[in-house]
Amino acid sequence: MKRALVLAAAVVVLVANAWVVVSTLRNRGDTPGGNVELTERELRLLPISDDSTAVFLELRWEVASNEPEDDGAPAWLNAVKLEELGFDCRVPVDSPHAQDHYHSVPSALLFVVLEFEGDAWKKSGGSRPSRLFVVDVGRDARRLRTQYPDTARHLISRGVVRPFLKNRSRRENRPLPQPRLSARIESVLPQLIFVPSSHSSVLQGLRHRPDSPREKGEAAPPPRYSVTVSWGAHYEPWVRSVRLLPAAAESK
Amino acid sequence: MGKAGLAIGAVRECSSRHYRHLLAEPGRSHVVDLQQQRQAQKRADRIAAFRAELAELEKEQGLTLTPDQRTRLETHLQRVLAELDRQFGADISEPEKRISWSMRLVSLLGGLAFFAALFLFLQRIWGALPPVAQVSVLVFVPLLLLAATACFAGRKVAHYYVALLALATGTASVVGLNALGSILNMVPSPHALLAWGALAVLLAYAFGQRLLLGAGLVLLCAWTATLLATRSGAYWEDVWGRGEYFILGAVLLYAVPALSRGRHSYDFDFVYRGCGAAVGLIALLVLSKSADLCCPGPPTRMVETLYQLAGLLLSAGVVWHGLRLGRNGLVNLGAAAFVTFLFVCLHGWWWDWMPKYLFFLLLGLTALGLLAVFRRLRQRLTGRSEA
Repeated sequence: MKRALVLAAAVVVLVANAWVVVSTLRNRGDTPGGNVELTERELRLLPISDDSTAVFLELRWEVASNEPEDDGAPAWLNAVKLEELGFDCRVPVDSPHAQDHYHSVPSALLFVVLEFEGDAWKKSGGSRPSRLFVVDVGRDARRLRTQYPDTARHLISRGVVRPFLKNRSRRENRPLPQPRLSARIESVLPQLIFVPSSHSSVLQGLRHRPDSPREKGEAAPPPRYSVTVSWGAHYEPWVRSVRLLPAAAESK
Repeated sequence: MGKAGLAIGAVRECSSRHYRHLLAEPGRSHVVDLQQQRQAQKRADRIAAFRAELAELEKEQGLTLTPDQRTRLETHLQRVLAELDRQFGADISEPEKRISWSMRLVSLLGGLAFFAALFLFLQRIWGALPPVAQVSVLVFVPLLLLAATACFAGRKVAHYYVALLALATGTASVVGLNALGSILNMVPSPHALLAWGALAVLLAYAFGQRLLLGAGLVLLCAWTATLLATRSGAYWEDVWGRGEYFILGAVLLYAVPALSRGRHSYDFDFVYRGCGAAVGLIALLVLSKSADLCCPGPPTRMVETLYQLAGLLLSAGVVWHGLRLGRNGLVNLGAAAFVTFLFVCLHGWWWDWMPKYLFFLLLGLTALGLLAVFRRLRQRLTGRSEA
C-alpha cells in the first residue's frame, strides 16, 4: 500500500463531493431560472414505499404541436430555428443523403423555456395534464431570460433536443411530398425533483396517483398539493415549500 | 550424482534462491507483500505439482530416490511450505485450497449482503434524514470504507479481503456521488466519470487491484469520449451508441505499457492492453453496425464493410501481439473478437441473398478452415519452441 495513493483517493472522494455541494450552493444563490408554484398536475408524486422513504416528484411538461402526427415535435422548432441553435442543417431536406445525415446529427443539451399557464396551454383548451409548455429553446440562457422576463411565468431549465427529418406520413404510411426538418425535446433535466425531509412530511400520507385513461370530456382529478419550486443560477431546480390542497383531505 | 541427485540439487538451489527472494525484507511494504503473496502461492502450487509428478515418475520407475534422498527432500519441502504458510498464508494443500475458496465465496456473499443491508437501510430512513445528514452519509461512507481498506492492507490481511473492501469503496463512491447529484437535483455531468475513474485507478495502484484498474481505465476512456462528444456540440449521453469517440482513449490505453516500458507492478501492463483492445474492438464493432451515425456522407454499407475489415485486421493484430508477449488473455480476446467480426462480415455479405441453411453451412466450413489455420499456427509455434 502506498500511503500517498490512499490519501489521493480520499482527496478525489472529497473533491468530487465538495464540487457537487459547492455547485448546488452557487445554484441556489440566485433564481434567474424562475420561481413558480406548481401543483400535482405538473409535479407527479412517485410511489413511496416502506423500503424507500425518499420523496421524488416527476416534472411533467407538454409541447404544442400542430398535428398529432408531429410526434411531440413543436411546430416552432423548424429548420431555421435548428440552424440558429447550431445544428448541422447544411444538407437540403430533399437530398438523397438527407435521411442519413439527419439521423447522424447528435442531440444537444440546451436551455428550454417552460411557460406556465400561457397561450400554448390556453390554446390546448386545458385538456393536457400539465400546464407547463415548452415554448422556446436556446443556447444562451441570459438571452432567453431577456426575451422572457417574467420569472413567475417562464421557467428556464436544461433540456435535450434531437433533430430529425420528417419524410413520412405516419397516418397515411407514405412519403411526404415535401420532407421537413424538425426536432423533439427528449427530456427536461433533471426529470425528478427531490423533496427534502423538511417538506416531504406533508406528502408522506399521499399515495402515488397513476396515469389512468380518461373518458372524453372527463375532468382530471383535482390536484392534492402545490409545490413552490425555484430554478437557480445553474438552471437546476429545488423545492422551496409544499402545501396540501383541499383535495388531499378527500383522498386520504 | 545420478538423475535423482541432479533433481534434488536443482530443487534445492531453486528453493534457496526463491526462499532468499521471498524472505528478503519481510513486511517491507504492502506492495512487496502482495507480490510476495502471489509468488508464495505459485511456489506452493509448483511444489504440489512437483510432488505429484515425482510420485508418477516413481510409479513408472523413471526416477527412484534413495530413502535418504527422499527424507531430505521431504524435510526440505515441508520446511519451505511451513514457511510459506507462516509468512504469506499460502494454501499448501488441495483441501486447504478448497476451503480457502469456500471462505472467499462466503465472504463475498457476506460482503454483498452487508452492503445491500446498508444500502436498503439508508433508503428506508432517507426521507427522515435532514439534508446535512444525507450529504454526510454519502461523503463519509466511501471514506470510512477507504480507511478500513487501508487498515486491513496495513495489517497484512489476506489480499482477497483487501480486494473486497477496495471494491466496496469504489462502489460506495459511485452510488454516493450519484445519490448526491439526485438529492441536489443536478443535471447529470460527465465529469463524474472522471472522479470515479481516477478513484478506481488510485485504489488499484494503492492496493494492487487489477479489476479496479480495468474499471477505472474504462471509466476514464468513457470520460475522454464524452469530452470529444461535447466539444463537437453533442449531448454527452449520446456517446454510448457512437464508437468513434472511444477510439482515441482505446489507442492511448493500449500504448501505455509501451510508453511506461514495463515499470508497472501487479501485471498492470496486461490490464492496460486488455482494456485498450476490448474498448477499441467494441467501438469498431459498434461502428461496423451503425456507420451512418459517424460517417453520413459515403454509402453506409461501404463504410460498415471497411470498419468490419478493420476489426478483423485489428483482432488478428491483437492475437499476434498476444502470442509475441506470451499473454493468453490477449490471444483469447483477439480470437473472440476475430470470430465475432468474421460472423458480422459474413452475415453482412451473405445473409440476404443465400438460403439460410447454406449460410450456416458456409459458416461451419469457415470454422473448419480457421481450425486448420490455428492447427498450423500451433505446429509452427511448437516447432519454434522445440528448436
